[in-house]
Amino acid sequence: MENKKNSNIDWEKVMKEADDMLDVQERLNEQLREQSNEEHDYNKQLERARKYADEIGMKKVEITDKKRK
Amino acid sequence: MINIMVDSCVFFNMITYNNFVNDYGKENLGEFIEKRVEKLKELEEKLTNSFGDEFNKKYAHLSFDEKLSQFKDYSTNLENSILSDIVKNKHLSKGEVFDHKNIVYENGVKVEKPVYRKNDKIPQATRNKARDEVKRLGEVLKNMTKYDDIKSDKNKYKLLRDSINDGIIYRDALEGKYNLHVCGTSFDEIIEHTKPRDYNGWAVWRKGDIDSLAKNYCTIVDTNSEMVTKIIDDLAKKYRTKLVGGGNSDDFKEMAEDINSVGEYGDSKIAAIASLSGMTLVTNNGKDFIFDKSTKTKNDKIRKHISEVNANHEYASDATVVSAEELVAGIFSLPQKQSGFEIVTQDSEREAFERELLLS
Repeated sequence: MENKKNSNIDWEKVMKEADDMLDVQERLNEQLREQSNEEHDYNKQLERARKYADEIGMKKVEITDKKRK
Repeated sequence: MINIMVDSCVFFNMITYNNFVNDYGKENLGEFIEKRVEKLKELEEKLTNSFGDEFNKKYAHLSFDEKLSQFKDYSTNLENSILSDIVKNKHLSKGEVFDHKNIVYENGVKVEKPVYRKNDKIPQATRNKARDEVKRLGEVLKNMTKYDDIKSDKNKYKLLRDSINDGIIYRDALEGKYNLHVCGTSFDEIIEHTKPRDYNGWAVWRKGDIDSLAKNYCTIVDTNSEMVTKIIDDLAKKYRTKLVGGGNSDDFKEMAEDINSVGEYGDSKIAAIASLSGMTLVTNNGKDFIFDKSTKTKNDKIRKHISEVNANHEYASDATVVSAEELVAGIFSLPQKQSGFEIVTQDSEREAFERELLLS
């Protein structure tokens, strides 16, 4: 990943971009209460998340069915 | 290092700060957060000015947050009172006074309609005064700040404040204070938001931005066990079920049958996975995980409900749910009762492959 890391940060641009991200977040908050009509399968969703996490090499912990001693 | 689990909203806010670090380095992150705090203060000042002198004087003893929630009732009551005075004075200016109320039903709702009668004894001077009062009140109404006038700034303020708190948690994670986790349910929701949908205003984040934060700073919490999945469902259901017997039931409120933005009964499962992982769950959605929103008074009835269920559950830990703000302020306690299950670290397929390459 290319790091610009310069000392001349264009703060106006940075702050504008951060504000734009808040707009996306606001849309998400609205969607959180919208019910989707699609059928959802919990196991399929987990499988999809697991596969994606594997693809990008994300760290993983697993809740096992071994009882803690 | 403290293991915490973040919900999807917290994760999404952290993207902004992770992108910043990718572009400008960790060393400038503090300044970025500081600049956003300055912006938050400006917004707070703007809102305080909008409240008006009378409100600020009357509620000087309240905190800004308390003022923010008080203003809706205050402005609505004031608006209604002025409107009622305008109607009364309009009738008076025409020489009419209040006589009685008629009860009517509009769309099944009971409505009281005042009826006025003519009173020829009202002096002309009183009628003229009432006409002037209508004009004056009309001006007051036009110039007063109504709740709708501040709604947009209030929303911006809350979003920015959540974002700053999430940014501080991200910074603290970078500095080694927290180990960030996300559960599979949340992560599926997160990756769904990289795909455009035929839905008006569907929120989309760049895949690369999500990957960068997930890969570099987050651990996914998974399970391959059917038994654990059943226990997650059982615990989640208990979080959504009213408690019977024991304690004062008014102190507790079960979680709602809410679903997340991709249609899964998400919140209660996320809370269950966090508890079974023994991790404090951090959220911006206090209304889903902590507060009983049906009551206006300050409370944490849902959190109490979750804690009560955890205390009596064979496998649940006593890890709690906290808002990002509470975590930043240090208002949280670490779990004492451990999860009944063992949690193990797993290599992702890619990590295992890379390690194999390294060894061969």
